[in-house]
Amino acid sequence: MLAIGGAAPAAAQQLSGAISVESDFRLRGYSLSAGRPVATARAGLDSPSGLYADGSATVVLARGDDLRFLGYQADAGLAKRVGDLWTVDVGLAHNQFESPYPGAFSYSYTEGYAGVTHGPISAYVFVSPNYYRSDIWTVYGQVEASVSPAPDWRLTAHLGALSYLYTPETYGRSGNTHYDWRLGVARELGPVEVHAALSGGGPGRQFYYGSTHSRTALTAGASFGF
Amino acid sequence: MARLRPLLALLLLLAAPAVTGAAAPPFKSSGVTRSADESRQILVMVKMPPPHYRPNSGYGGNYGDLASREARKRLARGIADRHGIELRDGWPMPLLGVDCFVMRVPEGKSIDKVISEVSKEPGVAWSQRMTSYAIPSKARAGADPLYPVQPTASEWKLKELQRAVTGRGVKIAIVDSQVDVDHPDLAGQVAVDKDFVDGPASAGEAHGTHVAGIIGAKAGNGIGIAGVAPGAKLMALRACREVDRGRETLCGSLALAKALEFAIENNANVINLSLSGPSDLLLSKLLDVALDRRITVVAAFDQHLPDGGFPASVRGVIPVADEALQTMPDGVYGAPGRDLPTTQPGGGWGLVNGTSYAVAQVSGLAALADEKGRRPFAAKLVRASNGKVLACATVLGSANACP
Repeated sequence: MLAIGGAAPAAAQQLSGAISVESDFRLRGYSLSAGRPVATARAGLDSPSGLYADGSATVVLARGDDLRFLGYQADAGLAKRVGDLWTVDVGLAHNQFESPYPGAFSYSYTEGYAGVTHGPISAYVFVSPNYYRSDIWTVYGQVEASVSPAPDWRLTAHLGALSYLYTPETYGRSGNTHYDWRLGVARELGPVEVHAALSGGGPGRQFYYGSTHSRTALTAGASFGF
Repeated sequence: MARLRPLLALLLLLAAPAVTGAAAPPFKSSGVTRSADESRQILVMVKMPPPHYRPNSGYGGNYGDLASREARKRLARGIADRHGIELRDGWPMPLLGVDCFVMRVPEGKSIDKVISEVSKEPGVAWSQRMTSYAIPSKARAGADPLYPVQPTASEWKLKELQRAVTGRGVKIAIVDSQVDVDHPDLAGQVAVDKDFVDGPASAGEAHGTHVAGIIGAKAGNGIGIAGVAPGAKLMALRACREVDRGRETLCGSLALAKALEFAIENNANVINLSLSGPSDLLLSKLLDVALDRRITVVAAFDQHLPDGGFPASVRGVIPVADEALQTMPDGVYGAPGRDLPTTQPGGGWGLVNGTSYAVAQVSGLAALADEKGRRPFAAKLVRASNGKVLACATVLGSANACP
């Protein structure tokens, strides 16, 4: 797990946590849990200086009630407010995912990222030198928006595109630009949030459990923050 | 369901310590003896970390904000415990990068000492007293509801002005008591109706309804009065409540802050603050944000308070007084404030007096100028040597009389 050093007294650090369940674990338009439900435990640490770190671990309920460790995500960075509307953010993130069922692939990649948030809109760029395989360089851009149409309700939208910057010849051609999108709705009920999202991506379909599946999926879940 | 059982069991196991932690006393809404109670309340601003990237947060909802907010509540509970004070309520103020927590200092403890100590807590941006603002209400009961003469009709040549502009498309936030949005002269004029007061709701209160009518009552509908800016969209933001059977209207600084933040976040063009009182750091910071965003803020000048009182004394806010004031201080704008016919809660009309309503007239005028493209309003506002606002010159940019 990541740790942050800082001069601020411990009481000023804000340690947060959340437990969540999702009907599917989707990342950038792909299901990493092969369409199966997952549970995730997350922790975050925010320092008054703007330094932060987050970590999460996920288990998947594979077919046959096979509860498997799916993977973890971790990030650390520095965010600073600029005026009352803008925030700039830079950091590093690492993602490690095991196969969701025997015989499937496992994935990992590390990214550096930089982004800005302006009110309800954020835009980020991620650069990875090892996207799913070593020596594959990619750049991923995303724009997200979040609005609250009524108290405790939130609508979100996401649009992302991934492009291959460099692929070693031994891996062959890595394909065109990949895109993904998501529309979500969330409702807060005290410390619990329930949410649903319709997401998709392209080009092509995804293969798991012996057949191809649509990239478009409706997912639902709940989170408990503490 | 059987297949999900191991997953649910794991979740319950993982959540157990969290649930235990969450069993701390919930926020209690304030109850009886509110005014005495409120006098011992303080506001504690806990710093909110800047929004930042969280892996896959979008797909899993908005857990980051949720968990982060729970962390700040925990921090606030710890502060309250350490200082022997009671945590009452909380409200995020993302515009200022803080979560605002209401805490009550028990009898026997010095409020100023607690504020000083709490302000030194790590993670606390600042702490302050909860401020109250009083609005004098001077409705003339029993006056002729069809009183036909509005001072602005002759002084400001309102009818002529409204041939050119009506404030169309301009959003005016009325931060006040509850506006009677069903009043026949206001029906359809109020685009947003929000209540930020902690307590019983009200269908319509006097001061807010008076102010709303002066600013935006329908024109040419065959009844009642014509607002100064009948084409404007009104945002009725209740931050004040009537007490003592409507003889007085009180506003708490937290409710005012909530309403101001809402107005800023929802792109109000003009904010009407027909109130005055002591200076307040939280409100000052929000007003700074509003003025930075070029929102016109109009407030009541009170000659009995130092510098005309807050928020009129804030640099950039337009201070307005009743033009009947014998000596109009430099920089203060005078507008009609006597015998003004306006809307009453419940559907009638009546006459009102006071600086509050002079402020409302200038807020309406700001909407007319805004539609005409005369921005920023503070730079375009023209006054005569006696301090009275010259409406036609302000809106039309000409020193000549209205066409």
